[in-house]
Amino acid sequence: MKTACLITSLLLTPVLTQAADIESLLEGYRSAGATTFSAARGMRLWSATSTIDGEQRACSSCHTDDPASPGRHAKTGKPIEPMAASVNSSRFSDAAKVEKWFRRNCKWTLDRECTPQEKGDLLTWLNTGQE
Amino acid sequence: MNKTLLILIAFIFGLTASIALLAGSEGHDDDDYYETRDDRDEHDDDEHDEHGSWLRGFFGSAEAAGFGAWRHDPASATYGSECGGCHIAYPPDMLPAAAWHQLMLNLDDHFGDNAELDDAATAEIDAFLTRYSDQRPVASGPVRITQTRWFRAQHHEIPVRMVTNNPGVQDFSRCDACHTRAGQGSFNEHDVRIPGYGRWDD
Repeated sequence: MKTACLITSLLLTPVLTQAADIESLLEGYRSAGATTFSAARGMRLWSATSTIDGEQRACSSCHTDDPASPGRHAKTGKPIEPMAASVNSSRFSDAAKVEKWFRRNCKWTLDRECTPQEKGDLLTWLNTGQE
Repeated sequence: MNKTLLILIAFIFGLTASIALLAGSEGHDDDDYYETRDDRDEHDDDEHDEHGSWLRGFFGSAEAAGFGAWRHDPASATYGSECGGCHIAYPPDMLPAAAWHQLMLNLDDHFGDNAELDDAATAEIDAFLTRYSDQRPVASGPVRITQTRWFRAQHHEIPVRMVTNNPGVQDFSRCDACHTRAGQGSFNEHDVRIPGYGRWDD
């Protein structure tokens, strides 16, 4: 019995660690003023288009509408691994990396930084890849 | 002394002198710059030489010294991860320091994209790029690698249909679309495979 539990918890470590990673990020956003997170809100933000410098921009421009699909950089063509943590277990494990890309991509897409609420909503949606 | 021996010595001397002159006389201007990089790269990989470049290296060409050194600098890991996420990490010697500095000051508008970094990473990469930048004197130059004199000289023969109008390439900035060994820092012409067209043979 003991052995079974040990093995199971070892096997589940990546999943549990990932859940912990996202939770610690969400905790950070809560302490910055965010309230309840909503995957539905995250999804809407993901697909919303803005017109900046005469260009239509959305997260989906590079990442596609489906976070479980691979994407491509709109200009360089560089392949981008899926964003959904459910299909790409390496996502969101590095807090500095998450913040770097939020900074770059929110500013490009929305012409401003994302709020902690928006970041939490987006991560909640990307965690499952579904509403 | 034995006449045969004298003739033999004179012959060897003459041969050595000729080789030295040959290596030294192969001048390289801006147009050949990239070819020089390729040649040095071949030398670096211990592969068969081209255009006598290994001879230039052998006789102490200044450019041969330190080629590829940027790859062994610890900061190149930072450069690769922060600047190689969307496009290849362009070799620092493709631009002069002033151009790199301009780029690093304007990461929020990086050719239409936002490539901002935190202050520490920005400073580290700026110093790194400066250290290994194109050292040749240039009054002022473009910030785009694809608009530099050497780049245009190397690619002016490529028809537009093979690049801009080619869905497999689309832009000259996508080096790795055609340069199959760009990831290893080799841009040798013989490794070029243009999507939909194959090898580029002059």
